[in-house]
Amino acid sequence: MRQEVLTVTGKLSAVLLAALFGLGALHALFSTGWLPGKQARSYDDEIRRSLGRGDTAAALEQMRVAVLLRVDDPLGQEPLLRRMAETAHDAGDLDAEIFALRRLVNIRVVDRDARLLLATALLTRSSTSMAELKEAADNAEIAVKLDPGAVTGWLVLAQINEELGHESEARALRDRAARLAPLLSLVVMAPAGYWEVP
Amino acid sequence: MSSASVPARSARFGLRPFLSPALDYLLIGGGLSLLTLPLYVSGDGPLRGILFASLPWLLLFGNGAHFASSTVRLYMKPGAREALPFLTMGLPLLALAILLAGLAFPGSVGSGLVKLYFTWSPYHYAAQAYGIAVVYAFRSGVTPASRAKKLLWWSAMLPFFYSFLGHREIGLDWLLPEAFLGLPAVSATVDALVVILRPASFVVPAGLAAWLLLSRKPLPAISLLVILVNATWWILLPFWEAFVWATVFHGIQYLALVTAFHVRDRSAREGDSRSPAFHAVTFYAACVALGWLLFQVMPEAGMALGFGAVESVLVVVAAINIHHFIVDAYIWRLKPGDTNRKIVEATQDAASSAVPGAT
Repeated sequence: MRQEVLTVTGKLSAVLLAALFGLGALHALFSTGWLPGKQARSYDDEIRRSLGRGDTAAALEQMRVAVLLRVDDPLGQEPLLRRMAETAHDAGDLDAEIFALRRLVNIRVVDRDARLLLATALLTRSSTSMAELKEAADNAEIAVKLDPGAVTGWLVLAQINEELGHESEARALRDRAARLAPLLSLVVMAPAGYWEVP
Repeated sequence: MSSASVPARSARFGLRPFLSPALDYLLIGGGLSLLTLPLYVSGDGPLRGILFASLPWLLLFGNGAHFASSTVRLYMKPGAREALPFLTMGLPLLALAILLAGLAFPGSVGSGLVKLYFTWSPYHYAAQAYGIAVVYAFRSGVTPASRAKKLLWWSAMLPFFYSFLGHREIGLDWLLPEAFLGLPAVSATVDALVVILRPASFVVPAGLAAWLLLSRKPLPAISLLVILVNATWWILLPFWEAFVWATVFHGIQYLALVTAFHVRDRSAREGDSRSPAFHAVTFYAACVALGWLLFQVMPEAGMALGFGAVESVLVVVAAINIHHFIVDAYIWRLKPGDTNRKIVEATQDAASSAVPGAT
């Protein structure tokens, strides 16, 4: 009995697989193409069309698809990821921006701007979890190591520490930012009460 | 081929190759991946660009073929349907059902499948490295004792533990709640383990090999090589790059070995008059064809059925990988009487006579 059941399931599997392969082959023939890589390249045209008519949401979704379809082609993704991060930032779509920046910093480990943007996006997003705040802190720390002279990095790191409940670290980081650019810090931080104006 | 015909150099290093000493070290041992490491890890030179541009084709002729090869091997291995009826006739339907569920519910089932695939992969690669190490040890005539085999297994698994503990969204991070993992003591322990596992993945296998050498039960050099190469992929490369390159070289490793086993099975059949090259080429062609159908055409079927492109590609890839992991756990068993065991033990090797310098 068991053997008969298994024989039936085996034949059913073969039929279903053959049907799926046939359906997939037809779909490939009439849409994206037979060959590896063509699927991702066809999205470039769709993205251009969507951006051209101002449909940012559609363009971002298509970029996300194109990125995931090129998942094994890291170098080829970089321009697409930068464009996606920029488009998402302009459109205020933090999820899409974070999606793109996460992948970008994996490819370009020493990209200070991408890391700082990622930290800022994670910090700004309301649905960010504690683990993601720590991810933001990691990225901001790398950003300030890459460019210790940039005030914004220290300010972002300070704010992340405050969100994590590390008040004394946050204060120390703001003080550091203030030493780097006292005028900017006066403008940015004093009104928020973080730092006593001398 | 008799043991007397083993070239002196191979015998000195305890190697009884499946293909030839050079090919075994380069392809099955993973030596090729070490030699080409600078090409795919460093800088933005033109060679790296060329390599990445060729990636889709490497994936088609390497990765895709490798995943398909376990299925082709399963259905062509003598006695497999009788010995493994559920695997050959029940699992495909179950896999299809899970695949469709993953497509229909991408946020839950689909996402779970993908994370399971990412979590399981480093284990699968580590287990393959261990299996290959043991097979070569067996063929060298110095089978490790039970305790040594267990130590070898644990040492081969260290890169998997590193991946399991150290990466976001998969492994431990996927399975345990964030609130628990965020506890300072837990977080500090995990971080410390990850730091320790990095050098341990290299030092422990090398130390074990040295201990076995001193105990006069040396592992063949290729057994240590295959474990260290796996550690190189998962420890030295960034995780997502490891996923790409480990799969490429693991696929080459797997294809070389499974083709050798298939050729030997076919050549041993009564009345077989085809050359080993014919069996090898037809087997590989079948693997490439099935791999293309699975990875290129199957996602198209998902899109044709109305599922999203992203979901179709990712869930299909995850389902195929998981099916491969399960099949792989069964088709390489070395039970007495199994054709695999006969091949591993063989002193006469009709197929290898076609390969110059092979034994």
